[in-house]
Amino acid sequence: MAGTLRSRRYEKVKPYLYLLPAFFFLFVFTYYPIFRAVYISFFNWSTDYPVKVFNGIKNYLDVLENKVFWQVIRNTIVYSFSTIFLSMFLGLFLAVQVNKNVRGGGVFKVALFYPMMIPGAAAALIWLWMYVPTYGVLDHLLAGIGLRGLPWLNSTKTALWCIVAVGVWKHVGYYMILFLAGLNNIPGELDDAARVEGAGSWTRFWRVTFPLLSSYTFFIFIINIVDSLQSIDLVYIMTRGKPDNSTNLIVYYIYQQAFRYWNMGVGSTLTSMLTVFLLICVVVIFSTIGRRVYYEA
Amino acid sequence: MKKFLILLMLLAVLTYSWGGAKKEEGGTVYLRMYYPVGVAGSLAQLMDGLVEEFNDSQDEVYVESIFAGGYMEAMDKAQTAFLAGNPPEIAVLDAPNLLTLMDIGAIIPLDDFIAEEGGDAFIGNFLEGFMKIARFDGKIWSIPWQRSTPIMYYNKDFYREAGLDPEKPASTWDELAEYAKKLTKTDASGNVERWGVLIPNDYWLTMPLLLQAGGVADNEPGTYIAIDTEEMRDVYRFLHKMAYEMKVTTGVTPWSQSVSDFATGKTAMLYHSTGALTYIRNSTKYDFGTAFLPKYKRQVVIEGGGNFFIFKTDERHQAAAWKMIKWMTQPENTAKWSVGSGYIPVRKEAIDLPEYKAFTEKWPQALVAYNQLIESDVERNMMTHRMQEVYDMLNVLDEKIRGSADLSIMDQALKEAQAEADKILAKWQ
Repeated sequence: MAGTLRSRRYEKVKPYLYLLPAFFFLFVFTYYPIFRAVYISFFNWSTDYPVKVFNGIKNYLDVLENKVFWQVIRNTIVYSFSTIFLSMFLGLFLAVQVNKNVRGGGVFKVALFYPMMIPGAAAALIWLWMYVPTYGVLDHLLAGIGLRGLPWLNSTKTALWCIVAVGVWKHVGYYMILFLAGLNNIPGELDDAARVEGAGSWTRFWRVTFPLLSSYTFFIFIINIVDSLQSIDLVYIMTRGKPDNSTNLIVYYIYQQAFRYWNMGVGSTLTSMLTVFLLICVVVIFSTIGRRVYYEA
Repeated sequence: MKKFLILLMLLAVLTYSWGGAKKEEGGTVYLRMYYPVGVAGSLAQLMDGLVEEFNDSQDEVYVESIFAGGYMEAMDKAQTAFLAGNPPEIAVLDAPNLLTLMDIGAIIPLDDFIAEEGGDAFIGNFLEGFMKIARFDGKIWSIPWQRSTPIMYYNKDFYREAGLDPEKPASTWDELAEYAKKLTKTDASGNVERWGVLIPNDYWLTMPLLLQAGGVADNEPGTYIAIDTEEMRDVYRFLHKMAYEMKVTTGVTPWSQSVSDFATGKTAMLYHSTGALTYIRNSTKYDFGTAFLPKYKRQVVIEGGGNFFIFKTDERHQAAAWKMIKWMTQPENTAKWSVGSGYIPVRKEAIDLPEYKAFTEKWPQALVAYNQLIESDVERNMMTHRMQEVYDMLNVLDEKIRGSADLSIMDQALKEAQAEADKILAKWQ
């Protein structure tokens, strides 16, 4: 009797035991640092104050008052919105095209997925050289068709868009593959049925395919938001936020404050703000769009 | 369970071997040295080679040289490592980082070591122009290593093509603008094929212009930086005129890109560090010369580059670190480093060594920076508390003003930057 009781109890505890190692790492590398950052954000801790001094919410007020902070927020919003929508739209478009049983579809799939496999740092360096004014590849091509060269990364007007382009190029293949997986899961009969009913290809896509894809679209949307808000590699290697902070994105700004200026208090303040913002984003999205997502039974 | 245990053991072995990699065997002291490479080229190999030579020369100290990126990354890394309680024992860092390193208590003064070597007699062997920035509060905190001044590189082939005398490079601001005009080449559709001159956006190049215009950049204790001044306006008016009225230079040019711009002939003149000399020499097909920076109201230049710092560890490691620095700055080694890099030898004796003489006879361009240091006024590089923040801010300001075709934003930008700088340095003012 005792044995079965014990094994029953063991059965109850077992899942937690399996979860424990994962939770351990999550705690050490994710939850603890988050709490620690929130804690530090209430202190003045910098090269001026090598020993932490309690500062209340002054760091938060200082950050909100800083012009550069708002510029960074603007940049991040522009970057995130444009990469999210461009790469999702293009990813879906390409997935639908590749899915049409075109000749050499496999080649396209590989070719479009390829940028994803190039390490971020290498990709950034390649693009950096392509963007060099006058003798870079892009200016060379422009000159070839008789157009004037552009300043690319060297102008506050164009630099951020250059980074957006690389971000989209880098991710679009991945999203395409995810969408493709979704498309392959949609039973062909549904499309056929709609066709028999006389629906055109536009209607079939928006009324049949797209709603059935919604769980994929939703997933891609979420990872895209997190991805784009957290991107730092391109900025770090290509521009360092230059020129005139026009490509300074939030995570790079945090890096600058915390590890370059050693304003640990301010860096932690920014980190806490970003974490809370991301949490709110996810909650809002799950409770609005998330409810309308269709999951196959 | 068994598998789990095996995994755990593997992990333990891995961590052990990881930590054990830095062996402190027998009497050998193990040191780590972070160093940056501030200019294009293969200086990292040269540095690693010198350190290896040092390691082979004796068996009391073993130094592992760790390439840490540019000046900026090297400082970020050293700072973070110190914060994490695991600083390198030695680091070559941009010399003006001194105050920041002092403020966080990361480094030690070197006076005791220097006294043992003979005090002033020992330090007197170093070029005094490079020692200014190592001194603070009556102590010496760093030893010069990869030192430079900004110089002007100019393409002699293009000078000839434009009908200018290749032995008489632009020597005043007026000449600079005038020559740049003649040297700029534009194609039929209005694309600039070749700029007259490039001055990359970096305060290290703006500051000499400011001094040449008669201005003052900062104060001795590093608690103030002058931005909202008439001389600063002079500098930006001049740069704006060349970029947007005469169209002979760009508004924004990244530091590293500008070197390849010059090497590939996309600009006829370039303001840059002497440290770029070897890269340019090895990669350009053009005949080029180097010259003093053109003068305006004053003929003046600043020094720059990296010094050795010893981090606070324990006496045994600090003494070992000093031993290595002493070896590296022996005249023959600084000469070797200068021949390979283009940096100015930091020891006076190095200039007269046969191997360095042979080098400067073949490449007289290398002597220009040294002569500039001797013949014109040399002022200390900008150095303040919270240096990184101040420096980045000055560069952002530079990009903002020079990136704008409309100069009317200048007043507002300078005023705001001054307020920002005063705020950053508030604790020290």
